[in-house]
Amino acid sequence: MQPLANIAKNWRFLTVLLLMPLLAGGVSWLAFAGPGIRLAELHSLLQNAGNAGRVPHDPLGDTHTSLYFMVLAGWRALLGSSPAAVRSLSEVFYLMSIPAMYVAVRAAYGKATGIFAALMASVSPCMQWQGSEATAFSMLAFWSAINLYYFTRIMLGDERERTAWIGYGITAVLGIWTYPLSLVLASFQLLIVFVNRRGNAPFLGLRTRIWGAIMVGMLWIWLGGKMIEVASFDRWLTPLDQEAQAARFSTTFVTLFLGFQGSAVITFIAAAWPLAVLGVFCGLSPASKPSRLTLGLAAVALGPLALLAVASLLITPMPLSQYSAMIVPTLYALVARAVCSCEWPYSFLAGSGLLVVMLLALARQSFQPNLAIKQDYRGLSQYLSSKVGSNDVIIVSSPFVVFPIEYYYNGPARMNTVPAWDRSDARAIPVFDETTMEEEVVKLLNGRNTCWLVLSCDQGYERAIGNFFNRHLQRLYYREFSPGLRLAAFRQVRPIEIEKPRLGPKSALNPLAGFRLYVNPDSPARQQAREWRETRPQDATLLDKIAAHPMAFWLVRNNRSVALDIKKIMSAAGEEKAVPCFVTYFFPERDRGGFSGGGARDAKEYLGWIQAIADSIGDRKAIVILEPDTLGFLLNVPGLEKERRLTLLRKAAHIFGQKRGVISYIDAGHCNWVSPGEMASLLQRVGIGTARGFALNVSNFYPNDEVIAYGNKISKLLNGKPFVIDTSRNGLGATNELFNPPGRALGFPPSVHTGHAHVDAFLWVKNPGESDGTANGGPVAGQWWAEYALGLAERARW
Amino acid sequence: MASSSTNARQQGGAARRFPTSESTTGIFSEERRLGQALILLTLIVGTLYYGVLFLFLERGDGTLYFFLASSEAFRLWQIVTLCYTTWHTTPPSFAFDAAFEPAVDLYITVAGEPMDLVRRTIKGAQAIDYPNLSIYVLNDGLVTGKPNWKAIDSLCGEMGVKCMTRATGGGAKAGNINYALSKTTGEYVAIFDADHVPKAQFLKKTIGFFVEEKVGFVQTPQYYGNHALNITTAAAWAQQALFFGGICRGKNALNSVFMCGTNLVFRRRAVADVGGMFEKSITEDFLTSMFLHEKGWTSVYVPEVLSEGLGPEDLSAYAKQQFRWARGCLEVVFQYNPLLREGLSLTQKVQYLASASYWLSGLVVALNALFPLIFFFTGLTPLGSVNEALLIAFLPYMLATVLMLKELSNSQFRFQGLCFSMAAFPIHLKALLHLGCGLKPSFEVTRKRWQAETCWLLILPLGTYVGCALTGMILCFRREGLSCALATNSAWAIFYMAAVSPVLAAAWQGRSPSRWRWLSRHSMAAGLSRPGNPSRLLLGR
Repeated sequence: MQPLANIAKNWRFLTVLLLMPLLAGGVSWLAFAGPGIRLAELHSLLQNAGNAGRVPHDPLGDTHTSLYFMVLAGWRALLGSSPAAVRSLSEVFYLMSIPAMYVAVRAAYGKATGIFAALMASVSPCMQWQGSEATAFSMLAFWSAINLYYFTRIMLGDERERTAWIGYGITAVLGIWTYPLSLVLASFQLLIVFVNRRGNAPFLGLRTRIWGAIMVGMLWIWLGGKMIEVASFDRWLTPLDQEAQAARFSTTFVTLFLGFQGSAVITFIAAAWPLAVLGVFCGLSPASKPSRLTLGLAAVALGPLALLAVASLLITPMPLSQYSAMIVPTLYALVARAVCSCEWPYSFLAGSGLLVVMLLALARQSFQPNLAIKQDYRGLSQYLSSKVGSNDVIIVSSPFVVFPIEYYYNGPARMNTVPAWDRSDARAIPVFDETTMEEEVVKLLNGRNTCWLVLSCDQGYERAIGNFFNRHLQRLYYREFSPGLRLAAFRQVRPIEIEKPRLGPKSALNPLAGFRLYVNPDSPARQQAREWRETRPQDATLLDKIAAHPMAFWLVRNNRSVALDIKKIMSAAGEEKAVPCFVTYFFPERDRGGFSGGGARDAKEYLGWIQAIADSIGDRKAIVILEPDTLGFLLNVPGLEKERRLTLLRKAAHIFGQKRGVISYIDAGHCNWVSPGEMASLLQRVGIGTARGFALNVSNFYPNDEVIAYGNKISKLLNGKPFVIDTSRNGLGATNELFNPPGRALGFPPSVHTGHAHVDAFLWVKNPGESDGTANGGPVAGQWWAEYALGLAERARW
Repeated sequence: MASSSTNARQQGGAARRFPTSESTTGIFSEERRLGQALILLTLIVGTLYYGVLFLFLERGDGTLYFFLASSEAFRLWQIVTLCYTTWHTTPPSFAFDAAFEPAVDLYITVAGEPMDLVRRTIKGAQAIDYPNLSIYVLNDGLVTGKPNWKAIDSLCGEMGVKCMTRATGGGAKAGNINYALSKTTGEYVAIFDADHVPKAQFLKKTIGFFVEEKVGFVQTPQYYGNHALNITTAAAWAQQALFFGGICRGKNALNSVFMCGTNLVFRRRAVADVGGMFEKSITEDFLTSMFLHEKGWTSVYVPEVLSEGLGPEDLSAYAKQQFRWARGCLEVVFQYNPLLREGLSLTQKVQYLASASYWLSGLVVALNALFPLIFFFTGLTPLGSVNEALLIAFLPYMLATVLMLKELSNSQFRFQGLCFSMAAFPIHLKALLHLGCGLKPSFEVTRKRWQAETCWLLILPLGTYVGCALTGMILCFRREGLSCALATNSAWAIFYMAAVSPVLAAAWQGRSPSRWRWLSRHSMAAGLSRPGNPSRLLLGR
């Protein structure tokens, strides 16, 4: 009778306790359970499909031995294999975690804190999401919650210690069985217990302790073996590791409370970490020291996480996000304690504030369709199935993305991956190589109508693939189904020529031979294309023509961030093993006060600036084009002034000449300006010897044959000095106008294989689409002018 | 059995975990382990943090980085000296003879304090349990132009104690004491401020140490009876609790305790040996003890609350008190630098310098608080793109420091104590400025009772800071949108704004005493109003 009477007395309390999981479950199911499967769930869903062993997985979450998958196998036998059925197992564990949290935190800190912790668990976006996903994490959280309960009882020196130890042991083993890294958590817990108990009467017999130590030791050896396995799997990153790579200590913490809000939002919130310092100082307020239990829990939660974070920084990225799922109950307990131990108005304010924020985050996570976590493979597959023809080809990259797409795909065409991956071989996906990729694609495209390209889970080579397609094929369709998951359709309009390095007479000496030119991922053309993707798709496609090609970076002013910007570009280019191109345009009195007037104040500022640029480039490879139009304008300058300017330019050329990696070209105007003889002599006076060569047609429109003829004449007078020409806007030749002439077109795409002995490269020095000045309706010089860019792209003869 | 275990669970097991010993020696042995562990932890994570800061992070703007590096170097000095001071927590064993009862003069220095205050102090002095005691009231009211000097004189007559009213001024409190020294003969002298009421066992617990020939003075803690009154008194007490708790105990073990102006007993011969109380400085106690240590005299600190005094009740009084200490101690750093003085041991030099250089911390706080503002208005930062290493290194370091401070002050050093230390930077800066310009400070006694005076010295700079920070955040948002740099710098700005808010709240509260009850009912002072033994507050159980 006694228990029933207790229930009757506490009916309000018990109702709340029951309602919480129900509501939480309802929200979770409605908001998250519906969508198509995601990469992380592949293993669970394909368990019996025979492919399971080949789906890339985190070796720490092995299908064969993990408790989760064993339970799942039984669950599937009962309820079937549909995504809803498979996910419902996680949902059940999530719902059970809520009362488990209450029980655990009540044991540690009392009823009120227990309820608050359970409330946090009910509205936690992170736990809700994991409850609706067919992965092991909600089961892990459940074991961790119960484990926390027994750990607390042990720390508090409960008199029924034996039960506590048995319970602790069972839950620890279950946790490790589900996810091996739980061993780290368990070891820390045991360490804390031993440190805490020092000096008190022995609680377990010596024999038990020895056996326990042996068991733990063996488990560590087993874990060590698994970690070695992980380390050797560096060839392909598992789908989950994308998040792991991006997830770092701070962002992991934010995710645990606010859910998966997309990396921009999470990074922004994580950037406000000094508020945590404020929180730490507020910890001075309670007029008592934190209890040993609290210190122990903090050590257990934060210690291994900090170790993993440090290891991620120094050794190799560690699965922070998976580990953090284990400490969610402990973290929530600590936060609940911190909130509930404040004095009255502050505890209420802080507590309700926290719950409201978590609810808002939950709402955003539920209703915002564009989150990276909401991978829409189903939508993409279904669309693909409906549109694809039997003579089409589908190319998927990264290769393992093929699994979720195939799950929903029922179209006629065959699916291929880039890099090509033989799925019957369970070992690594081959490493990406650009030439191999190009050859594979050309082979796949042979004789096909339309090529459908699916890009997802960027392993670092997506941009190279995308650029290749944009450059050589005509795009018919593009859509981003969810952030990072894109589908595009292409058609071949002309035979693709793969650029193989040709060894002509001079090209063996061409320092650019065999190198790729660096494409700016954030050019105004790219940004404009992004903006217009939905609203003006054809125009966006045209702009892609510009954006896909390498263009030069103009250095035109002396601002403090010049060095930093250049370093950023150099490292980005270095990562892709590409060579960036810079133009220095800061000579004193440049453009003689014209549309691009400005420049350095004096020689000192100018040379200091040049030196800073050269230092930022360092020893790495880069193309530098010096001072467009400067030599040309010297034509009509009186002798002394001319001498001064030549000296200054010579010094600048010399500074660049000192850097091993810099391939410098001094600008020599264009073919309709200075006579070849005079230009050759100017170039000699300016020290062309220290540079690689000279540059022609920068920002101009003269057609290739005229420019090359002019350049060859100069080159002959300079004993074969090579040159580069700017082909950004000379597709249709020049008119009389110099600034934003209408009706021009893009010229040859940039290339280091020009077929001309003295021409090192065709470059796009002037960025097509940037205005020459306020003429012909254009904006200020250097500013992006979308309509003009469109015109250039439209009229391009390729 | 069941109910006690439930109880234990509900209290987080606290009841069962901590020993209930009444003796002070037991406390020291328990705290020593935890205290030293905390110090080690702080040093380890501190090293990590400084390593990351100086070696791994990308530098931003050169000038700003220089300022950041120097302020962090100063903080490093502070934390290392704090760890060094508080490392040895075993109380040193001093010779103590309970039967030693020489003649003692007790001076109560008065300069215009309210009559009831002085009456209370005299009563307390008369209640001291000691056979050989003469009480003197040192009345400086005449030379400082206070209106009630005559009333004090008659009060003394009424209560039966001798009153020495100085007719010629000079040297402020030091001069007052020196004058009294020339007129009295007791071998030992106890000093009390007008508001510090001694307890009955004061002399019994302190005189015994003088049996050792070399002991120059014995210092006891200050305790603010009005600490729960309002935010200002609570913060002032928090700062005192930290100092008179762990820090002085540590100094005691290093023979570096300095005189704190009141609640002390000194040997006449010792002070005479250094030429009397030093009259040329506004913190005469600090310098006189330095001279005493130079001459080889030792000092003893008794960590027991043996008197009860009053803390400053409004911000202006607090600011004046802090300014006096800052001005005096900064003079020590620049004009009487301990490192250059002969006679002090290395330990003592470091200790004196550390204590004196505390008053430079305002400069450091001001610099650090300016960094977010500079970013808002100009976009320059001392560090380049901040990566996670800073965060991972910094937060544990802060956590360890906080735990250490709690431990050292027995959890009395609360959030608003720390905030007042930080937000007092205008006071430190003003003291630096005065020292730099050679302005002589005025010797004004800290007011003991509340007065509705607005402390512009504090409110103006702090209010301006808050205003600039808010404007800056908006400006920066318009310039950069929601960038990560904006988030981090705004978070720092919010941190500093939160740090200065207790001072602003105290200023608001100080406008009228009726507001004290409202706030103290709820918040910060509430946790302090533990009944009973002040010694327990300072030391623990």
